[in-house]
Amino acid sequence: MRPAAVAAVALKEWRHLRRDPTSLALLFLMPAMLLALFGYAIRLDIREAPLGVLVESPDGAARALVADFDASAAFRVARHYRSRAALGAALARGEVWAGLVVPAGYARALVRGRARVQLLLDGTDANTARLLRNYAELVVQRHAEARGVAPPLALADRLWFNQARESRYAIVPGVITLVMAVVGTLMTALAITREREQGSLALLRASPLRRGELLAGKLVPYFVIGIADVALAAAAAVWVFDVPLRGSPAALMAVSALFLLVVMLQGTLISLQAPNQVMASQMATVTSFLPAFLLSGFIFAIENMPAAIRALTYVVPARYHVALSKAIFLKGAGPLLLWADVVALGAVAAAFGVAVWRRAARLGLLP
Amino acid sequence: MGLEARSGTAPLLVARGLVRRFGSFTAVAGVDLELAAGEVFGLLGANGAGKTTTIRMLCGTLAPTAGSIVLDGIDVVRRPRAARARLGYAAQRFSLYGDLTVGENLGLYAGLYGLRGAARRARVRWALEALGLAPWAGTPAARLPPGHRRRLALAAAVLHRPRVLFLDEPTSGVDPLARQRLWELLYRLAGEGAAILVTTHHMEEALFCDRLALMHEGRVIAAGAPDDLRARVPAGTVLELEGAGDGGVRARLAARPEVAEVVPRAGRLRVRLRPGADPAAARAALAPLVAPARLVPAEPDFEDVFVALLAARGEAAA
Repeated sequence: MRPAAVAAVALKEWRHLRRDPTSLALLFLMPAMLLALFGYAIRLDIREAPLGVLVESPDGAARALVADFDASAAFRVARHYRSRAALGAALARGEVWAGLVVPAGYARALVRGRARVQLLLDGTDANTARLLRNYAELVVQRHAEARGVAPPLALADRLWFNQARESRYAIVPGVITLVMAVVGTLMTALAITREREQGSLALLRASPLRRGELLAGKLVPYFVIGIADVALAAAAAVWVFDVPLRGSPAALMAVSALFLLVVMLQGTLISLQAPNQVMASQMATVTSFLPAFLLSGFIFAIENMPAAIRALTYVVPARYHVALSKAIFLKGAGPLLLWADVVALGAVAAAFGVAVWRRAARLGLLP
Repeated sequence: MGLEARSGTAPLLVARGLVRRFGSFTAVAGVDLELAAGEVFGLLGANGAGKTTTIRMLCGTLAPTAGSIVLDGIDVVRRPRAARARLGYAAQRFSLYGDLTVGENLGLYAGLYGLRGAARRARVRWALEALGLAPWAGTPAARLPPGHRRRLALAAAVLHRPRVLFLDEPTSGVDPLARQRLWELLYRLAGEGAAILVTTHHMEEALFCDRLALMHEGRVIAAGAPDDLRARVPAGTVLELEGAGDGGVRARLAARPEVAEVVPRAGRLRVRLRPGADPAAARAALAPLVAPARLVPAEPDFEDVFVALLAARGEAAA
């Protein structure tokens, strides 16, 4: 490989990028958009859910329980109702997300250790209902403990790695994976298709440019941009979304560089295969975004998937990076602890590398 | 046949028995060529005659199905790397990068040929000067007028001082003045010792070449200096109608057995006689049909050459 030729191709690619505001914007706005979307908009936890309350015989004990609900992070008391019918209607209208009924004789029952309260939930959103039920259980248990009443079942709860119970903690490290998969694949997917469509490849063929020089020259600028995207996304995770980076930033960048190589090679393979640019960008979106979103463990836990789908996730490179990113961010793990994921990523990179090299032989450049 | 290089020096390019098939279609069916230093060689033929396929094989971007190509002593098929450093190629379609400036495009090509630093800058400056592109150095290639775009393609092709230059339709889509200037440039490069092969389907442009090969259906049907080729048209078999003829004159002429075809050319009717027809007798027979206008012998052009050669082939086949 001649450095002058690689540098000439890299400079040319960089100039194409600089003069095409759409692709530049894509490379920097897309990560920002994905981060904002998943960091802010998609929440898997609930805060200050509006709670409707019906207290059938107001006394100190009932008031204390309601106050504990109001004080919890998950609920806020939106309104008191006078009848079950009124509370049910409010729930149906969506004014409140849950209803708490403290029955008559609650205080007396409490003394005898047989107190019961009722939680009404809107089952149309099963996920929210389940979350609210869990939160409510927790509030009731704590309340009982505080009053020295033995609850029917004591659930000792201790959450590791995400003590703040923030779904954001689990999501944002995965968003970095998603950003890289999409940006890395998309930007390289057009790289060679464009040359072929514009006819410039015919001219490159008549020059002494070698296959390796063209590929290296094309990948270098995109790799630099990809690394910049990772660094920006990681910085945003720490300083904008307050996700703790417990592992070493160097480890994060190292495994991300490896993953970036994988997705860039994936994009290049698409570029070599696709008949035109439109097709190439569609193939890139489908093969990068969807698996990285659905099959990587980013939002949907791989452990809960049916066995067949779970087997499929092993060929999704994003799954290894999601695991690595989450572990480095939240567990403070080093890459050595996660060597299996690193090796898997390396193996995928090697496989894609060989495929690209072989496919690129058909470009008709010098070997 | 006139296929050999004209001077006594060893030829810069020798192609023997070039064949290229695409599936069952034979695009080039056995072409032999020789080019000497300082020579401008034209490959003339209609679209689809096999000119571009030939040129692509000669510059090593398309593997021949059969045949050999030796360029400046190097086997193009076996040693493409060494060959590419010695040849320059400008494609028919503008294939440089429209979003890069003239200077950046040339800088890129200098880099592709492994030039760097001061050497690279010097070559780019030379190319800009030599092709009169210096005032346009900072202009994006897409915004150049077509003639200048051709010059840029040429500049990129000669940047590394190739021994042999291949230009596929170098003047297509260019206005006559720009075409004239391009030809002057080609002569200058040839004068500096390069061998230049151009393809064209402009018959009148063929006159600018030192030697020509006429291609038809993948074969060279004739080759030689322009005047030699024109001499292949039997004297007096191409006539021109001088003076105004009435509306029916074309049909009347075309109906005659000694007339092969009647075509309009530069506002006049051109009459090609059938091969084997006696020119003097034919003129006498046709004269009454066109009176008061007159039929006079015309200087044959390359289209006439083509028609005459193809007609002769047709006779031979029949």
